[in-house]
Amino acid sequence: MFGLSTLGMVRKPPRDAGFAASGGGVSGYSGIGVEKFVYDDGIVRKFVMATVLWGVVAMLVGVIVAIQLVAPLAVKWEMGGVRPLAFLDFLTTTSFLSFGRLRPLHTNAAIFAFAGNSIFAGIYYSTQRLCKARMFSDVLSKLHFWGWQGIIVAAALTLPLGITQGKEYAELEWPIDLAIAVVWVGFFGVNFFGTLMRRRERHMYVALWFYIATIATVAVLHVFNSLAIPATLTRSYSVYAGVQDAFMQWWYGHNAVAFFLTTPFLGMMYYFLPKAAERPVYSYRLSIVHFWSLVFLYIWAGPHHLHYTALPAWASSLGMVFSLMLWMPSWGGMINGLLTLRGAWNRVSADPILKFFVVGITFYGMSTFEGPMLSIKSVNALSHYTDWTIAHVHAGALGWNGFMTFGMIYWLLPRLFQTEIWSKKMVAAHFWLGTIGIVLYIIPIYWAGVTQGLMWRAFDETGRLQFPDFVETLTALMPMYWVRIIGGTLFLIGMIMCGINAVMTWKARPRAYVEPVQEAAALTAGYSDDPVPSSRLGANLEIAKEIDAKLIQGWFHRVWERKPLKFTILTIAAVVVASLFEIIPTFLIRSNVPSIASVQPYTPLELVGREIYISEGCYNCHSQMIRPIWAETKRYGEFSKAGEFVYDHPFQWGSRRIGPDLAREGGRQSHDWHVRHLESPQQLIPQSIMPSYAHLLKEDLDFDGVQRHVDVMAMLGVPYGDALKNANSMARAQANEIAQQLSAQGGYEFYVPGGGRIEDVAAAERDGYRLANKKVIALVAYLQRLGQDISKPAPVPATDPAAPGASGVGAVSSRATQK
Amino acid sequence: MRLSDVIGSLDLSTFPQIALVIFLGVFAAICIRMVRSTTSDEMRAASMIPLQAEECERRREKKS
Repeated sequence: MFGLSTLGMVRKPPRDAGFAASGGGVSGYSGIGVEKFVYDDGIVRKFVMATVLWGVVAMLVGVIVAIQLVAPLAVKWEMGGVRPLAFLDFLTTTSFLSFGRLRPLHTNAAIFAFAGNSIFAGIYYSTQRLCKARMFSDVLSKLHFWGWQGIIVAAALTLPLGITQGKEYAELEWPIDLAIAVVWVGFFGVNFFGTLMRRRERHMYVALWFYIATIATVAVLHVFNSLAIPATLTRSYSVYAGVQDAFMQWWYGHNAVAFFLTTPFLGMMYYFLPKAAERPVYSYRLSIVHFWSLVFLYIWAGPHHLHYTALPAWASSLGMVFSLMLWMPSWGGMINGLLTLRGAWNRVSADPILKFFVVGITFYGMSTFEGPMLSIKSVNALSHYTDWTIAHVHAGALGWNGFMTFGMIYWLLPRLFQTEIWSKKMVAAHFWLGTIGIVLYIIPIYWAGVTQGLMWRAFDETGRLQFPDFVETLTALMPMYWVRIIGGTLFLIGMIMCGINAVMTWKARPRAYVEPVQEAAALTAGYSDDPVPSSRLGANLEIAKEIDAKLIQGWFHRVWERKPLKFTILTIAAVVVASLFEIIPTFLIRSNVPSIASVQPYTPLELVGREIYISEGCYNCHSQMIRPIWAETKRYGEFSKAGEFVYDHPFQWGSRRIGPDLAREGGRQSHDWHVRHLESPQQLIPQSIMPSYAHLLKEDLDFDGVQRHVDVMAMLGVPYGDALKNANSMARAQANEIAQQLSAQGGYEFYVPGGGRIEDVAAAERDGYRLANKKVIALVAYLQRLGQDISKPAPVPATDPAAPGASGVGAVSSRATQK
Repeated sequence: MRLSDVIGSLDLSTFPQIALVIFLGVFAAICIRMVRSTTSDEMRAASMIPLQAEECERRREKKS
């Protein structure tokens, strides 16, 4: 049964299929020529080192954003007249370092840079061994590696600059999205499937199935969620709006967890755990059931992120049911992993690599129990928008993805660099630091989540909200946030130790790597599947015989396991069919998104203000979705309706409330309040942890660029009447109107940075400080519009409904008159 | 009549029910294939694939 043998060592290896030895004689392949080849471990080395590098970056940014949540209050602490933490002030006042911009950088770095490179390292190493073939193309391998690193660098540059699509985990703008599609499908996908086609092992081991599902499904998710129309090189508009955009985003978002953070790591578990434990997987049967159950069930679960929102209830119920069903196969996989160590548990206590795997798989079990639990609507009503979700995500990301990655890296380092690992003690220390770090991270954050959820819904004996001031529910969390910083820092230190160990091991590498020559028999070209077995039935119908022969006797699946193309098509079919059952009704049934006559498109200025809202990443802290829950309608007002979001490209419902919901913010405060709040939130709400957006009072608004945004929205079907011709002048008119109202309210007419007086500025230069020309005015216009339409009378139809501007924005330019 | 009208006239509960039937059918077929005792050897052989290199190495060392 063993068709592979290691013949010897060479320094200048032959590439794959370079030559064939005569004779054959390998078991199972008699009469077939034996081919010699070497594995490409160079590409694995690159991906491993990139994993370590980006892991440090991702976790460092994570600690920084955690500090940003305590910094606004911490900088005020005084000890003997000294403010020891005043130096942290730059974290809340520097525009490109604001929480809203850095948090997406943290999530993208953790998911796509750290976990992404880890996946690639694991797949490139294991696929070659499981297929007994070198990767299909060394050029594609290199293009994949450098292309992916280029994408990460582009993300690291654009996100702090506020270049974002405003959709969680899909923030990167359209040029980078295109690059991702090319690198993922064109380089990685072709290389992987090419290797499968050239494999020398007939049966595709179950790890390869998980890789197939990953590559195929992530491509489908990425392409369909990222469909957008560019307005500029750095800004595009999602083709979906409101409810449909929310549905697509969480169809993508949840399945990114499923097919980027789960299936590839399961594939790696099924390969690297048996290797580290030196025993086969506990149950190969269970792994097959595990695979198909996950592929078929996961794709439905996305709507559980949108419980009690404006998404139709049938879709979110469906998401909940399938999420609950996911618990069993997930635990089947976890049990399969842990039982693989049967008979080897004595080694776990002494082997830190196995420790990493055991804790990683245990966290997989915990997260996949908690996920279905959080999808139950009544639980979700409490947990959603709180830190509970953050704790859940980090249990999965740090525990499952992090520890599986570390276990794999430490197993690979001596094999890839052909030397002993630099410090085994450091590996053990990393394990304990990481474990304690996770515990110190998640426990206080679970606590914070439950605390905040309960405070939001607490009523006093008179039926009023017990904590009507949102900020009270936030300051209560500060002690937990400090403990989280300690936990995150420990995890970061562990990551840095992993980096030091990797670099020092690399430095001790031999002058030239020895590359063992492998040999295995090629698969025969004229191979035909096992014949269909004869039916064991006698006097039955022909169809019954056929079912017995092909289905009951398992012939069909055995054939799939040997045919990558057919297997891939069936996996995609499982994913696409399941998706379509949810997507088609959501998009095609009009009753799902009932229109509201009074809801009108944003004015050109409001539209640009919305762009600023997205660019600053406000959705990272503020939701725009009031759920039909008593505590929420008491706090924020009328619950949100699907028809209110039909012009929202993209939707901005958010997933976390570090600040209050803004769905009905319009008209609640004066323009002056908003401007001063954006300038320095603490001057109005001393306990606020919102960063300063004073730069919006200084930066000029690009009125000339307004028309491009309006034109693209019109292309997407938003009825912009007169604004199609003169968006620029309409925006200027509304900005001047707001500026006049602001001045009448006693607010700034001019804003001179550094507290200077406008009287000291030369008259010729004063216009440069006029607030009517600044970004803040557009943002105020947008904030004052939020949630207003629903309470307005429907516009009177024009005489000629076909006339341009009949129901468009032409008559909406004076909408600024709020206060 | 447009596609949206056709879909809109259907009862929404139809969609998840169809999907559940499809899922249960596929799931049952896969389970049947898994639990059949005649596939034991095949399963054991498949589960050994990742360990083949080590096994060969061990055999080679034994011989030498």
